[in-house]
Amino acid sequence: MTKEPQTKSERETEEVYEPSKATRIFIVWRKLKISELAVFGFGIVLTLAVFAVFAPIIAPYDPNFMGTSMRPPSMSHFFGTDARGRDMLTLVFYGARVSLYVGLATVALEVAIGLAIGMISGYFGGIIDEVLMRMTDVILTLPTLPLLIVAISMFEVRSIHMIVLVMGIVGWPFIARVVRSEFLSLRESTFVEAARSIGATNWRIIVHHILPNILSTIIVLATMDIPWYIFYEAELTFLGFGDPNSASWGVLLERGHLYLSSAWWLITFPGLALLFTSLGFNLFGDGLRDALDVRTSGR
Amino acid sequence: MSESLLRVNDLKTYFFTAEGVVKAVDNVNIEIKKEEVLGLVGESGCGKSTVALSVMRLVRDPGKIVGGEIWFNGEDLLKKGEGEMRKIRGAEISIIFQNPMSSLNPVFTVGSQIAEAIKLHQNVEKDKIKGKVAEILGKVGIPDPPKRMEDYPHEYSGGMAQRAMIAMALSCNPKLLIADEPTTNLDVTIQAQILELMKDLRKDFGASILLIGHDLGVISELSDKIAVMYAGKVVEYSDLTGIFQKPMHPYTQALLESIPRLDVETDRLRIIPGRVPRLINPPSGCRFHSRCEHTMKVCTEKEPLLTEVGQDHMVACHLHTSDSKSSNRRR
Amino acid sequence: MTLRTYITRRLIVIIPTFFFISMVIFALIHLAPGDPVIAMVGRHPISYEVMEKIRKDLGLDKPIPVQYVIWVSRLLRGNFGYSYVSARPVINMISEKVPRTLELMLVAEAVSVVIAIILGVIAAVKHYSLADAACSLGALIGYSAPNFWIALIAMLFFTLWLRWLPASGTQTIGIEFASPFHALLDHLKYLILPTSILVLGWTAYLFRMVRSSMLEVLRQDYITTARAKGLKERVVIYKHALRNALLPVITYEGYSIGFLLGGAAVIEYIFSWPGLGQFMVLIAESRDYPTLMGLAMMIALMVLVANLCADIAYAIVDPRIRYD
Repeated sequence: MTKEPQTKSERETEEVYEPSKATRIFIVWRKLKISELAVFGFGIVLTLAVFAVFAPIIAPYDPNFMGTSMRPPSMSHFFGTDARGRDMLTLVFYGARVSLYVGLATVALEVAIGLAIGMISGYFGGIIDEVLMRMTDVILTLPTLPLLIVAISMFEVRSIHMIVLVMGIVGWPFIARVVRSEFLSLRESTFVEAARSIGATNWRIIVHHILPNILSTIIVLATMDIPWYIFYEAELTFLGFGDPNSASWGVLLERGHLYLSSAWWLITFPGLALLFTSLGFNLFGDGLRDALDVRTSGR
Repeated sequence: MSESLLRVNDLKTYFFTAEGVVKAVDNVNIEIKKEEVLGLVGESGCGKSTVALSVMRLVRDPGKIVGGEIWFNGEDLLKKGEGEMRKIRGAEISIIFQNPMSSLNPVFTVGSQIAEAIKLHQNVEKDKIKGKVAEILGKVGIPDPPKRMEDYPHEYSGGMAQRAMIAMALSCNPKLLIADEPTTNLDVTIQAQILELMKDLRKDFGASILLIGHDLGVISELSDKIAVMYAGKVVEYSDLTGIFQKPMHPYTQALLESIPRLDVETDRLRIIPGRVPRLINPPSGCRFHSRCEHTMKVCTEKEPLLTEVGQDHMVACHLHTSDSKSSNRRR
Repeated sequence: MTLRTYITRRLIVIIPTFFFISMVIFALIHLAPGDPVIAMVGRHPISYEVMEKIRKDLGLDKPIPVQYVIWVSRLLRGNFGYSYVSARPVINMISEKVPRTLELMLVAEAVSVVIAIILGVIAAVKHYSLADAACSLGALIGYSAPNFWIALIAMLFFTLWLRWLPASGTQTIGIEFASPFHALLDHLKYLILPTSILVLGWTAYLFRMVRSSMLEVLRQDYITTARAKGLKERVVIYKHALRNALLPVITYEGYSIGFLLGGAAVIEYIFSWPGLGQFMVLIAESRDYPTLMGLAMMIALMVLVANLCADIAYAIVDPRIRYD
């Protein structure tokens, strides 16, 4: 075999080794890509939360104040005014409160129900599991919006809380199924066996060992579901099944679309708000999922 | 003296990751002669698989071959275009991998995957292809080839799947077969069968083999020569007698000593203290120095080069070289 | 097991599922507070006796389980009920609307699949490139945007401002007097907007699935084997990788009907497209229970059939699944 004297070979290595500019940019880009977008998404979510919580303080006008109606966006009214003269910017801020509430409350409800049912199903197995899973399958098969429409239309009362309730009840199957499958696979895992072998009770195993692992998956799912529920509420309201007294963006869109040809600003800004909210949660959720995945796969 | 079939000179393959540059293969030199079997031994992560992929030029992002030469049949593979390499892959140089079940495409029949290789590289008439596939499956010991070739990979057992992989690799009569840990995932009994098979096929096909693995015992079953790799470099290279009776590199010695033996009573197994260094910032000097019993000052400063210490026996260790011997050029 | 056995098994499973769904729908509608007869009658001054008669006619005086059995047995014979609000058999009303919705969904489906696969493969193969980033970002926006809002904006743009495309109905009045070719062209103009909105949302979703599936497949050992055989990169991607990557996509296509039906509901409503979705929104408000139930069952049936087709397609394409 041929051998070059060390120093010359080393020098050659140094020359060849320097990664090209493209490769360097590539490395940095990869480092950033994972976290940057998620942080941006989180930023949006945070902004939304701030708007929602501090609406009364940040909003330029009182939401019930009625000025000149149907004004397009201007310096005094950034988003214009609606048919009754209310400032759109203010209304969008206040709408954030309702939409955020809807998103969080519904997700809380669906996770509570879904977690319980999923765990029960996984733990007891047998006939309980069979029945619960059949129900889950059925509800999952049916298209969500039509199901919501049918469910909502059954009730006379149209309040925002009703909508949250109905959506939460329609939404648990997905969570339940994921919880159940995670539960089952975790139950067979070695660390649970180990815990059992040193005498841990079933209750302790479930609460201390299995639950924390399921939690990370659930957090990701819940985060990804929030924008969907905000969106569904808006859609239901738009179609006329919502709560006309709430201040949600859906109500703004429903009121505004009648004036589509004359007052474009009535639907544009609430819609943009919906878009950015959804974008924010999706980006954040994606990043969250990647981050949690990396941890579990130990890359 | 038979001719050289494959000669790898100063090969460097680096991986440009987000955390830094991993020098997976750093100045590796190996040589395989015609109809010779070279065993490349080393622990996980030492770069041996990367050497295999580098020879085939199958290294993907973020890895890149950044230096060296790979002489095959008188040509430097690193200077060839992708189109030329494609003609060589599968036809002149073939490779089989560690996990046969995941190395075969699950949605195509085994027979069709072998036929694909034949169709690509050989001028066989359409109606004769099935026959050839059955023939080669028979050669690797698969029972009832005409039926089994219509089966899907998941219908094969691990051992049979590996035989099928070997069949696919040999279907176009390559001059060099690279076997990357072919028996690691198999049961011990199957392991023995596969090694026997490879011995027979080596005679039948007259191919050279680059056999990669981490089990010295298994590798030595088939190899004529052995190259020991550590942390991206070749540290010792010799024939079987040299490695087993006169191991010169402390790493090789430690490897041999850590094999439990039935004929000698021992209380504790010999272990090599420390861990394999991360290849992002390898230690200066000899990469083994932090775990070596015989470390000297020079080991921390200068990298030892592979030098000849006997007939067909080379070592990269300061214990056995001195500066006067180091610029030893062969050819 | 053979394909035939698999299909037979799947068909058999549909039956209990169908019954279960019917129970759920029945329960849902009958559990609702309020008297259906009163709701139907509304403000009309109707005497008590007439209401009782209506109640008897509809079979509402019988115990609930009996009502259920009657309803299901009628369903099985193809009788989807009779709407008192519109005075027509439900099945007639539905069968007028189904083709319109199918038209929307199938066109949207076809376009989405083609675009999503092409872009998904490109994005996966050119992982981390500009093309990948651009497509992924576009998909994210398409996925996050509220479809009914986009519909409104599109209407604003293309119909009100640019006047390029119509925003309601399926054809121009009087077009039937023109040549069939012109009628078709005219119809297409009406089809574009609603379909595009559906395409936007579904392509975004599908693209992500294709891309991630493809990325996963490209990491596999058998892809390296394919390259090691000396195959051209194009063959490796389109023959070896794509076949495997599309497997999970087939399953997602099964879900597409759920997504598209939901989307269709609001899109049809906005664009006055006379399909099932618009129909559903209208009758949900009118409390026409028999029709609602019939419609719900029809939708459920469509979904079940779509899922069955997806499962069968999957079994055909993936040899592993039949051996469970």
